[in-house]
Amino acid sequence: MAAIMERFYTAIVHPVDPGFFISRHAGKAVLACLAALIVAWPFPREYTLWFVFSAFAVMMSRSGETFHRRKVTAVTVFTGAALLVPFSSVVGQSTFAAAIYLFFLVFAVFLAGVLGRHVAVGGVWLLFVNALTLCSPAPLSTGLARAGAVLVGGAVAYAVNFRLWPVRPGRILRDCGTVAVRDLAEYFAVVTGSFENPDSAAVDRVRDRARISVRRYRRTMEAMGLDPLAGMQTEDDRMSGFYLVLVRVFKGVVALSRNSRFAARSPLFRGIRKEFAGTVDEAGRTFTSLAGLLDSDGKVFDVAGLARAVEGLEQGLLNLGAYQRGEGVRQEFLEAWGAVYAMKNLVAELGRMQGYIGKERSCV
Amino acid sequence: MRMKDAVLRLRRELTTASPAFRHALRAGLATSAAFIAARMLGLSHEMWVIVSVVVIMRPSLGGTLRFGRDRVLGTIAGALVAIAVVLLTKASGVWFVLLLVVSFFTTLFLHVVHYLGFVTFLSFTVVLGLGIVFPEGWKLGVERIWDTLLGGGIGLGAAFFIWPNRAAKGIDSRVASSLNDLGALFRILGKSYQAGEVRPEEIVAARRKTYDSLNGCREIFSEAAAEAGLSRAGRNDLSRLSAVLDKLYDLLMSMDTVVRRVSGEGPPESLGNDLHQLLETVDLEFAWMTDYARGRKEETTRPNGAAALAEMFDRIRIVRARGDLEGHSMEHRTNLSAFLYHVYAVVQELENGFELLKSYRAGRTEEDSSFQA
Repeated sequence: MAAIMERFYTAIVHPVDPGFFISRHAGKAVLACLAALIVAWPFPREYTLWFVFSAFAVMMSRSGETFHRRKVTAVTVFTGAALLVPFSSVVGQSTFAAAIYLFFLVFAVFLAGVLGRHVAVGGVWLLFVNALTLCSPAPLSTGLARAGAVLVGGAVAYAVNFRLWPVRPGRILRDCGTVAVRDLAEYFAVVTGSFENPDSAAVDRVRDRARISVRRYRRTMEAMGLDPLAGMQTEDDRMSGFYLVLVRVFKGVVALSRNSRFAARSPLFRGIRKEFAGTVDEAGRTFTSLAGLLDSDGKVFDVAGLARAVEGLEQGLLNLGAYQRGEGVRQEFLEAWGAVYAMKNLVAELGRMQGYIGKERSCV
Repeated sequence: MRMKDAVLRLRRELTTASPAFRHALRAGLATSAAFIAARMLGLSHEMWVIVSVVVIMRPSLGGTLRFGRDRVLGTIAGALVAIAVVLLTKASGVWFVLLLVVSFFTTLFLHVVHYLGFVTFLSFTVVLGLGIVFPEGWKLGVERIWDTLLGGGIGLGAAFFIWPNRAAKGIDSRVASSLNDLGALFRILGKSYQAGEVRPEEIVAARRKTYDSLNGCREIFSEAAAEAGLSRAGRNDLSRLSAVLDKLYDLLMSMDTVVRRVSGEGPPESLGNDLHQLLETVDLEFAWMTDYARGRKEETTRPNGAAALAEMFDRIRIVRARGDLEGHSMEHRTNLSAFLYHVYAVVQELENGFELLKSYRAGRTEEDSSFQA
């Protein structure tokens, strides 16, 4: 059973939700609904649905780039819904009036979507709470009681969501970082593996996965109220600095994938291609080692040696003097140059990444 | 966004020319119609019909079709499995409650990850829950399927008949906007390289804008593919065009890594004017392509980036022969070569993009004329 669970976790949960960020929120949502149900218990059964549905709406309207904005969205959803619920209860008694009211409500919510995603998401859940009320017409007194239930259910969900079970940014980001480095390493492996047998579909697939991983790191930072671009100038900030290195490594691999199949048919470049392949193998090992370092079971790799190998490649390419041998060779030279340069950039970024991972380990 | 800005923004959208206004109006009418239909039919869960309409309505017909399909399929699958579980277990026992909690958790987990999975588990959870509350709760599962079909049908009807917004119609402007953003990113990178100075914020902002724009482009391509009326050749052209736009973006990202290594030094002085000329030509080619994607005819001559590159290489040969590059460090010279390689690859991709746009437009003209005939 444990082995099955571990496989399930490794194959399905970890790649999607390495820091248990989504799982934790889903767990909190279950808890919030259960808590709302318990709070609703002493009250008449006819209001239970409003307690629970309001809690559910607050948990589902999780949107906004920062922690503060998400809190504002949550509060707006349940207070806005509570304000409208008495009116919706009364209006629901007339089919004609309810249809007109629903039209304006839906129109307003959909139009307000142009103001941003958090408005669109919050608006839709506010609309759902009111639609539920509209479909259960009742006199004003019942509507007011329902509004109370919505307020209490929303407040319970708010408390569970923002006060209980706080997240630990360092741990979650480290997990996200490990997955990102692993995905980048795999992207690199597929790119270099397709030098001889090009498989653009496979390259595109792993590229998208690596891109999602890097973006996840950023989103996780944003979700915790951390600025991913804080280290853009100085790179002193450990977390945002690591994010920027991830972006640059990703771009480095993209550059390599664009330039990797240089001068495929030219005998002049055969030697350079062979040396290039050797350097790429070494870089692949560095990558794997870096991913292991984040897991604390890898060894520090000699990035400087790799950089020297790329410099050797660069010199070898220059010694060919291809640039002066006419247009055809010049084009092949440019292609080779793009590849070697991409490799050079990538190795430099791997060096930086190793530095950040070192800092990361010393902090954990 | 401040309140004043928000009000201004909303006021700007209050016109029938605004796609957001039309979408909101369409959704409002469809939802009201669904509510009236549900009430007239005396359905016990009017809410399910309303929710089905609201969640599938998308600005384009293709988007509504895609979400409508997922909503209906997911609901049918989830409800049927739940009905079977409720009937087999009589909706009782600790295991049943545990299953309900796990299913609820999975629904919430999938909400962010996979829409079809989310809808399937949502229906599964709802029917299981109703199975506990009501003695014959499984019957509500059947009702949920019918309500979703009704809501989905009304939503799709509205998307087809009220200001139908075919995604295919928006392709031109989305492609043009993506090319425009790619051109802007290229311009910023070119200027940074020429000035020997990098402003990361400016590059990052342009890169993010371009990335979002390309995402929008991909989305509209897939929505257009969901609509009827696009030929297989047209779909192929769009898919290849999407790949070309992605490649251009990748190239510019890769070019960014080169530009960031200029370390305070611009191009060698003897090549400054030629490089400026080359970058301007490619920039004009981007602008020309943007106009072409918007539907402009091929009357004006397309700026020739390839010819400008050939001139640049000739110029480099002369400058090199004169020994003008000797005073520059190896790093500086290799950086120039890498930069030029990227410009060369961008020009090649622009050529590919032009051929695909031309082919897509030619195919569409044929389809239009055969439709009119």
